[in-house]
Amino acid sequence: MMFLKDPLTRSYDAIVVGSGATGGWAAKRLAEAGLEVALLEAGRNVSPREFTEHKPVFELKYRNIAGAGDWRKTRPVQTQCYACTEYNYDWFVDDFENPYSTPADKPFSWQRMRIVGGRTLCWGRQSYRLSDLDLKAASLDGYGQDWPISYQDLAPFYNLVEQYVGISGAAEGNAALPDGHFLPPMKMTCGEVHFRDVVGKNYGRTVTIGRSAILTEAHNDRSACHYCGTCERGCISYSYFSSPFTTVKDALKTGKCTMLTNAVVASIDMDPATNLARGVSFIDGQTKQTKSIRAKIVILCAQALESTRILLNSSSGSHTTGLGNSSGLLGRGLMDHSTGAGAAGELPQFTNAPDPYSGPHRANGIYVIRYRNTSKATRQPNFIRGYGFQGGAGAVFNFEAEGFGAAYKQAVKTGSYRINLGAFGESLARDENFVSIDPNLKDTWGIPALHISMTHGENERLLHEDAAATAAEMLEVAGAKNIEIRSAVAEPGMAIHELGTARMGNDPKTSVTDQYCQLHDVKNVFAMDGACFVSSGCQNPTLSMMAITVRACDHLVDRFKKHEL
Amino acid sequence: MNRRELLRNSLLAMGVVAVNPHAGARIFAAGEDAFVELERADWATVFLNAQQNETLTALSDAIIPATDTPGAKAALVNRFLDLVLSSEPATVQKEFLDSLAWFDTGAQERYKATFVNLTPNEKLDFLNLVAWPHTHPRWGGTEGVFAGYQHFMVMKRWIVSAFYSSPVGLKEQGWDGWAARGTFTGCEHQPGEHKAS
Repeated sequence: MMFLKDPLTRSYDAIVVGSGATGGWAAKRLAEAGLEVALLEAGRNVSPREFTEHKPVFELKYRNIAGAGDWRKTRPVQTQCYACTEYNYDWFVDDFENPYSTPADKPFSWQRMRIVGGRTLCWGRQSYRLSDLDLKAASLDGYGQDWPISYQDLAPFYNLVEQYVGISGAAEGNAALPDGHFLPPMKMTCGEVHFRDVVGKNYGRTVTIGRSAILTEAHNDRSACHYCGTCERGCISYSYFSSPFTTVKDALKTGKCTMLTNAVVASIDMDPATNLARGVSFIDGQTKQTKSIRAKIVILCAQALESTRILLNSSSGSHTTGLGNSSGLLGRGLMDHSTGAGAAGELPQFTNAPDPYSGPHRANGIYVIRYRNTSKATRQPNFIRGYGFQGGAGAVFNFEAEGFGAAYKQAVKTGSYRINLGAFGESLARDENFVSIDPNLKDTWGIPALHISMTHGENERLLHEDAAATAAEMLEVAGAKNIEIRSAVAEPGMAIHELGTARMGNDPKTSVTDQYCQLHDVKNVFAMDGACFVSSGCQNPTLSMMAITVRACDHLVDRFKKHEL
Repeated sequence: MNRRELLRNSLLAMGVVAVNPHAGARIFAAGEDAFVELERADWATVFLNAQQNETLTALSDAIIPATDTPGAKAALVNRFLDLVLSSEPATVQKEFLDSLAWFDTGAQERYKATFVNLTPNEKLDFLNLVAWPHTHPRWGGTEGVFAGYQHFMVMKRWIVSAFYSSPVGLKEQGWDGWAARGTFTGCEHQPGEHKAS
């Protein structure tokens, strides 16, 4: 029987490295087109039995409080992510098994998961399209490079991905954030409706409900959200999009896709005679044995920095500084959305008591669409590009109430009605922000580790100062009191939106891949995740990554069937 | 999705696992409940000494007393904090113990008795002194934050976290043992007639 054969003894049409948002799509798209696919995942498989979204916190030994629990000692970086908890920490990497280095004065928080599905198990699910304001930003303001593709190129693939994934949201007709194919939007709270109306009336800015990969009605054999609110711990009804239970499942169902777990890919193996890849070498995550697997095509979907790490670790023959690095730009142009700025306050006109446990939990918020540098009228004198806000308003328990005794208990229950906005700003692609291989550092499998060097720059600082000020003014006009303003830019990595390092472009001298994510230097190697991003926009990037992957895969299949690959 | 559908999905998910187990997965056993350990009749401290445990129990009960709903004692706040503190870094342990000890030394200074031995009126008087943010003038110097308030806040943060994460504390917040809610209606009011939802 076929499945009893050693999967390493045969050759595949394509190897897909990584089973997350983009890897799942690549495996699905290629396998459904009839290609024989090997899907390699560095971590283990995941089971819905691990989901803990309904497990009350007191059943945990340490209730996820403070620094308790030995597991925290193994994940000092990962615990910077709100989603890495006592419930699910083993979905996240062990930081000591997976080291990386940074300059002492340039900390970078690399939050990552190695498990089938990768970060789609815990992602924030916010799903926004890029527009030509983003894709052609260089032509508008003169900074950096345009993407080699336009919104028109991507739009059909956004449609396809949205219709499969199921994105709930509302069409707004705002050119800075193109509308898509939406399931019914989630509802806003009263405070959010009030804020939306006031901001629209006073500033002409668009406040919309978050466009989220959470189903608001049954869709593609998955059930609608049941509003328990803790998606990062899994979902028994598969109501938020995660690749193991959607794209990967579809790929495996074809019978054309073989999934290998605990396969930690170290490098791409080249045939020097043809200058083509012949497969990849990987370390068995459990036995630490080195193995190899063969295919006609290698597709990297391992996460932006991991894909680039594999390319950098694949030096051979004429590729002396990594595979696909003839431009010298492999690893350059690292981006991660700048975060940290915003404002919060109370909306005292809303006085009802909080009810988060007996009321539903909506794992979504509001989104304020970018309004800076969107036209001549909104052009800013001191910074380029823009930011969007994510946030929400609602009644919350007032655990911070002063005092003690019965009065304190009552004050907690009475609660307060709060509103909060947090900015996601564009992170400019700067070549001085880069990853390289640290010659003195290896992971627990003996694979050379990354050195990550990134800081946010002056543009991000000024952009966040503006974001803090405009957030506060919007809250004030909405009647908020006790407004607290935040303007500091958080450490890079905290957005968990790593992008760039193998950017796409038409010119091999100034880019690493072409517009279909194909390496300029090696025609059968593709980098189809966030590594290919030319600029970051300010929108959460996963939807765009998936659309770019599907577009690249469809082109690849077309060429494969014509024997051009 | 209603509760019946949710239960059916849960059972289907369990079935998937029964035929497709995954080595290395960290799976909570059905019914696994760490709170049961705190309720054991033979429970004993693992970190605090007897006096510290008594002081913590009395202090937590004063900060979150039983009212028309249960308080910190019923929530076994002292037992949970004893466990959590046993696993905290040494610096955190020291800060906790220093603040806890301050309540005895502070009570001794003012009332010549340890905190647990204060009369109800003395306890109220003492907590009213330390529970509110205030500064006190220093002769010939700048104003400083009252140390008693700082120690109170250290203890209060721990006690509040432990209480509101306990079964009693979750019920205080309206928890009824069921996580899924089915729908989110949001604002259904006419403009100008909003209320918190």
